Amino acid sequence: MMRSVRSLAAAAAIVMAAVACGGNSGTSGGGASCSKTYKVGLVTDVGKLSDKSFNATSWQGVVDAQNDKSLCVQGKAIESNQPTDYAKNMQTFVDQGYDMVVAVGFLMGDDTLAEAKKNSGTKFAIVDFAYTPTQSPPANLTGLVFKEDQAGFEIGALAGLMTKTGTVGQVLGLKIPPVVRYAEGYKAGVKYTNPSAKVLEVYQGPGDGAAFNNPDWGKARAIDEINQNADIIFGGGGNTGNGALLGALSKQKACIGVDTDQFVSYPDADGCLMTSAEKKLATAVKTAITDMVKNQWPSSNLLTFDAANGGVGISSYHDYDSKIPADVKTKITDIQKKLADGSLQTGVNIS
Amino acid sequence: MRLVLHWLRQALVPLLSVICGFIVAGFAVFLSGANPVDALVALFQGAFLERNSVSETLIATIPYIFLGLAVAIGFKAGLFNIGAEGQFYLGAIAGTYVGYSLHGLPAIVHIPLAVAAGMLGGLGYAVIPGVLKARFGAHEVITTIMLNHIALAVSDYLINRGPMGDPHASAPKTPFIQHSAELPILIPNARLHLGLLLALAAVPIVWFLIERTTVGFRLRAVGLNQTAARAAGISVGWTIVLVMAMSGALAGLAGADEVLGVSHFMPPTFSVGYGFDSIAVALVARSNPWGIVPAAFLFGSMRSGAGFMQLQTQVSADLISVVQATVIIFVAAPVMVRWLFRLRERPAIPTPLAAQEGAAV
Repeated sequence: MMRSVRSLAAAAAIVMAAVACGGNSGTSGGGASCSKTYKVGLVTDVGKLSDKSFNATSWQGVVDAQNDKSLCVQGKAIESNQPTDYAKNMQTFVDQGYDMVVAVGFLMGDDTLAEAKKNSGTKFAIVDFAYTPTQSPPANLTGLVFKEDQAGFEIGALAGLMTKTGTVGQVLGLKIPPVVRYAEGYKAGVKYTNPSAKVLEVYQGPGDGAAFNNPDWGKARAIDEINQNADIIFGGGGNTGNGALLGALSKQKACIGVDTDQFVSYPDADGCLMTSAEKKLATAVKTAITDMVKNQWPSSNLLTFDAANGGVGISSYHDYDSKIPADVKTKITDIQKKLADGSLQTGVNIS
Repeated sequence: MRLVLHWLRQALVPLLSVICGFIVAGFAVFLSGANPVDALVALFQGAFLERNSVSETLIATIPYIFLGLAVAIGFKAGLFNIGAEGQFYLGAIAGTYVGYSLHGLPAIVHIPLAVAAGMLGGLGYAVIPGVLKARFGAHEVITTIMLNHIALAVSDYLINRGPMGDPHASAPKTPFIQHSAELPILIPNARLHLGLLLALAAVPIVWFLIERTTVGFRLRAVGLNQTAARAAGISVGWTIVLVMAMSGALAGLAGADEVLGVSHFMPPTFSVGYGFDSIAVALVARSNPWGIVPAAFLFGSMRSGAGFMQLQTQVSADLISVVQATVIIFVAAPVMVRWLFRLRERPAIPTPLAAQEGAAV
């Protein structure tokens, strides 16, 4: 039975891939004005392109770059079936003469470092990962990281303004740096707009089931927090966080999504979703590709995306728009501006 | 000559099933708007003709050989070990632990230790459903499926900042194994490792064990008819535990081999379905140890060529799952394949003993 489910899923994936690729199969990049077409390959982790999350959004960045005719980019993707395929799939792009390889996600950190060291003629960008100086990353390798704390601050500020009970909650994935930045930013944002408000938080620990993929646990924790008077829940931890959104929905409380605009990527929670704390992976990937094409490759092995360059922020309010008072919206816009121009700091510094 | 003809006859239905699987998958590719011939050509090119691709294809074949043998040994004794995936995980965990925690050993000691640990890990984990079956009659399909989930959760616990997590890494993973535990590379500048030779050596050993030893005889007797085996004085319970132990040891070896030979550390989601694919491998090989090698090679080639196929034609690498699934359906329904190809009906199921004698020729 497991097999048949898998094969059904595979068949569905093929159809979806066909639909997804339909849009860009014709745009092979390059026009009359292109003296050279830059070839960019993206290697997914085992989540594959249909994950509606990191892989899908990163691939969108490649597609965006391809659709920008001035860049003369042609993009292709390889989905990894196995963690042991990461290095192989990256090497496939290198062997085919690709100019740049995009690796999706921190799980590929070691393999990407090794491939970049081995193939100095190819540029490598890895999403959501930064190398330490002790790993001595080569010049052709850059990490793409985000100031999640700023996005967390913005949703925290909104939650602080919107809470009626004076208590808000957050249900988080594993305690890894990006998640902690979201969480600390959220707390700082709540305190900024509502100093007396209380923030409940829970991280998924080693014994709490599949990391970032235990929606039942997330849902139960969200309901715990609601029982402790929280009326807004931030779900920050992949599918675990999605469970938290469902928990808020079941108790008819408000919820806030993470990473992408979850109103679009996770419609199940639309009934409670105020907004989402976004890190714009597509923007980041397209920026790295642009840097490669324009010969402005970062020398620091790092590209940071923040409020100033539009790399993080909050999504549209969608269905919740009418429930948010105009003065709250004004305050949030003001906070966004101040975070962008640097006059407001989140006070979070975690790397 | 008679032997060759016999083998060909044995291989005919699986071979036709594979062809049917490709035809169905080709149809799926066609529906998705791509050209099935292009996809097939790219799959072949990716598996054999690109730089290092033969090496990569052989690397992908190695775990399928071990796991195919693991499942086949169970089939021979009438046991459906769906737990190869979980035993693979336990083998990988044990192999990884011995691989990174022991320091200062020469490779000649460290590698066998880590390999043995992997086998023990898988063995120990497979003995659980074996004992449950032998002692309490719990069906191994149910228990092994459940144990798969537990194995995944255990590895997740251990690696995600648990006791085996690398405290210095920013991603959840185990530390790297010591260089002394890494399986030697067979070809310079490629990743192909000693595991291939281990896998190829395992084939005749398993064959000999099944066909030429008293243990193997008991195992086959239990597989053919438990009541008769019991009447003949064979301890059915003990044999079941033994078969599960051997099956688990092979699956554990596959897991350890992937760490020691390829990845050199263990990430949280280490296997995505190797254990399940290997059921297909064993079915296509009709549980014949020699047949495992070409069947594993076929599945390894598909896995290895899939990435290149996606790069060239943008047909999802998931397509190979469709091929595998349809192959299983056709292998499981030999009557349908015979009908499709208008093959003359041989005695549909040869009497078990005759088949066994035939295989042993």
